[in-house]
Amino acid sequence: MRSPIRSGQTRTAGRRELTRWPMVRAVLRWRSLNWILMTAALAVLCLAIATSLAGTAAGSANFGIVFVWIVWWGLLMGVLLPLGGRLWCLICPVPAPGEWVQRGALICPPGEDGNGASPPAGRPRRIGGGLRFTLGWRWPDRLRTIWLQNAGFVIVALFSTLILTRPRVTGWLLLAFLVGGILLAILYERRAFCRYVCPVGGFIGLYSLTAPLELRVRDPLVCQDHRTKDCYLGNAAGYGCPWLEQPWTMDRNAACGLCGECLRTCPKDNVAVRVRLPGADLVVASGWRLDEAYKAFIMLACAAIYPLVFLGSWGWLKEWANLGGPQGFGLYTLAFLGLNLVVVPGLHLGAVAATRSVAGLQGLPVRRLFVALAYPLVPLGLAAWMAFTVSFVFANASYAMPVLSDPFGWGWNLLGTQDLAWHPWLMGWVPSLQAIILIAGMVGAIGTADAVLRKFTAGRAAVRGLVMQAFFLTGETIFFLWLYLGAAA
Amino acid sequence: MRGWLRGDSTDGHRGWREHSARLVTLALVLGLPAGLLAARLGGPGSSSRTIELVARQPAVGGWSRERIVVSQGERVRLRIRSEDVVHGFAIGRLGVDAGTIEPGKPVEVEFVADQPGEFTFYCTTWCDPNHPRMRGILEVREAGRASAPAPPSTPDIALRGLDAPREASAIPARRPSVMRGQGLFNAQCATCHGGRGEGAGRAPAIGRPEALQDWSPVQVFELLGGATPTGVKRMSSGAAIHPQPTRGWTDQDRWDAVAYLWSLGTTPDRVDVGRRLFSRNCAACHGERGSGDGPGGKSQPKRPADLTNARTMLAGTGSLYTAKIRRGGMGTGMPYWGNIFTEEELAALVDYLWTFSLGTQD
Repeated sequence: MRSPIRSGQTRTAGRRELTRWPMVRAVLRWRSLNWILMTAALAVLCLAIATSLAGTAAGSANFGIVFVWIVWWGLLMGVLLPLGGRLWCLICPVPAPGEWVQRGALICPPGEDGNGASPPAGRPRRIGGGLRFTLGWRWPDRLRTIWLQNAGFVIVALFSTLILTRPRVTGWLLLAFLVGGILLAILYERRAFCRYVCPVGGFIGLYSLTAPLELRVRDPLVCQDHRTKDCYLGNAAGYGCPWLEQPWTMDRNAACGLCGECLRTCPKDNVAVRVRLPGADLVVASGWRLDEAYKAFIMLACAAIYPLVFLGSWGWLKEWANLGGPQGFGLYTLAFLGLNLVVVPGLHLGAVAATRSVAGLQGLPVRRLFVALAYPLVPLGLAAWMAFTVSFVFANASYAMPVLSDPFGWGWNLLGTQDLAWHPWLMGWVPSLQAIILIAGMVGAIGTADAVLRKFTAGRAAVRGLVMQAFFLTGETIFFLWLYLGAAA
Repeated sequence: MRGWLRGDSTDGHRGWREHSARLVTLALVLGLPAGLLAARLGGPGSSSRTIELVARQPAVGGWSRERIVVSQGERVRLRIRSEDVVHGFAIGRLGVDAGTIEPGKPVEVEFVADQPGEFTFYCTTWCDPNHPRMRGILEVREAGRASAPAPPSTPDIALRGLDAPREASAIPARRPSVMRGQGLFNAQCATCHGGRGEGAGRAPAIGRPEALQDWSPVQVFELLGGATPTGVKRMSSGAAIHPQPTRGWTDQDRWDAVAYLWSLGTTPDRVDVGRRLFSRNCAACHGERGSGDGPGGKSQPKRPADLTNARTMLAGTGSLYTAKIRRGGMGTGMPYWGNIFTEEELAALVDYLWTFSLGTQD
């Protein structure tokens, strides 16, 4: 078990429990909810793969490109992630086939046939119930981090110019995700793919720390007295947590996929979904880790590189990023990896050293502060990504209507929308919206820095540290404002 | 597997729910893409009355059909769609032009194949470094014949010296003026040659389109200066030099007169036809202004000719440029156009080419 249960561990101040409402509780506990959402999303994913692989190579006329990189991405970064954290993971179709294969069921909970909740006395219960088509290996301890997800994201981001513009590449990538999800579900227990491998899941987990939505146990003392731990092991009402989370120890969102299994399995009705002020999980010190800090750096660096490549007017840079030639792409790769893995962390280290010095924190290990002060970069990074998303989603969203009628780009007009012309939406509002988002991100970042520093010091020292942090965070925000509203506008 | 699909269970409700879920999932996940693909195979696109033609960049296959065979007199309906970038479609010598083909927006073009023979259809929008190779053949067969008649022969052209280096002995210091040239011509030349160069007496009719086809501008420039033109031994009149050399004309006066002479053999409408042909078929490599700097030229084995280079252009003749366009570049990357452009189109294109170096139109 990860940590002992302490009374009063669950914070309820400033929170409003959604599951107090019977309708909400009933919907979240409804067994078919996950299947309906995932099946609908899986149908869209399969269509996206089919259209990407067999449809037109023109991205703007291909359902796969338009619905994955414009519609889905816009919804994820604009709505689902900032408001719901890992809400997308509840819908995500990628792990669905693997999970169904693993459980031997699409909807139904484990039965009483050896896969269920009530094994013979003295016999250990098998995790997750079904396990009909899985070896159920335990994920290696040394890989129980998000380093794999960091590496996966960097690789995908490096080739993103190809992935985002070429339907075939998108199609193969989506297929690889789907197959990877199935293979890992066959080999390993539960959703090892989502938790430790999925490059998208990595950054969603980090950014979900800012979300105003949380799933927590109501009273940890109830869990302390409850010996069967149904939320983790499963019972006749549902499966044990697919995300390998132990709800009674959860104090942050990072790895909770909001699948609702614990709501269904908890016999004590001790699990709640609440809304709260955004960013509360960022200052949960027990969760601060170097792999997450690096995820924050990578996301911030990519948020700076993407507008230059995709929105800027530097043709040579696009050419390099687009595999225009071995030399150009080699230089781009070096610059991309250098910025992600060395330059941004290096700049952060400088900012941390300065903060440590002015705040009188010389007694604190640099690594500890280096990791802790990476968390203020999370709201700023999310804001930068949202600003980037705004720039192309409003411009390109109108491609969605024609491809609904003609998903393969073969000249169909199934719904009568094929001839709707492309037109950018609300482009006059985009710069203002980007500025508002970035400034909101900066405010969140400075607020987080304040809360982080107060974990280590207080009084004037904390204020001095905050001023230094605010200086750096404001500088980074100004850089992003210049990037989005000036250089790449 | 069958049991899994049936949703076997000891619990009836569980079995029913699982069973339904599995059916719905299979129908949605596999049925949707499969249904759409099946609709394509059985859809109206496969009608035997309409010929489907798919355009892809040459790097991934070009036209889906390299040869289309129809019968003489048949009403042909082509449904053309692009699977990648914007393409264009036209059939040389038949005047069939479908315009641009945007991805996801198929274009239908209909015509009667009333002329037997082989005609080249080609992409009219620069789409790929190998765009010039995106061509196919429309074969129109006469009733009762197994193949199309041999393509119409092109006029004999003097291929000798087609690729020889050219260099004008003189070039204008500034862009020649047709209007100034007209004034000079009227003052000193019209008496013998007629006001529009229609010819009078022994003076040749130099205003006809074909009159100066075998003369380069620099040769006429030299002739007007009283010299024997480079490469010319005897004119049609038998004289080696112009019998009435212009007196008191500056070099620029002579170039202005040359520009006027070149304008006599064409019309603004014909130059406009040439401009459109150039813009659609040549500008991608030769550049919109003819300076050889078009984006398509970068991928060609040899830099496209700079058509604004007076030193080389003014040393060539209309016949030479017509032959070069007709034949293509022979290893330079320039495609052959002889089976696409009509003789009228070739002439119009050459007339337009002169505007880059000679200022045929003020």
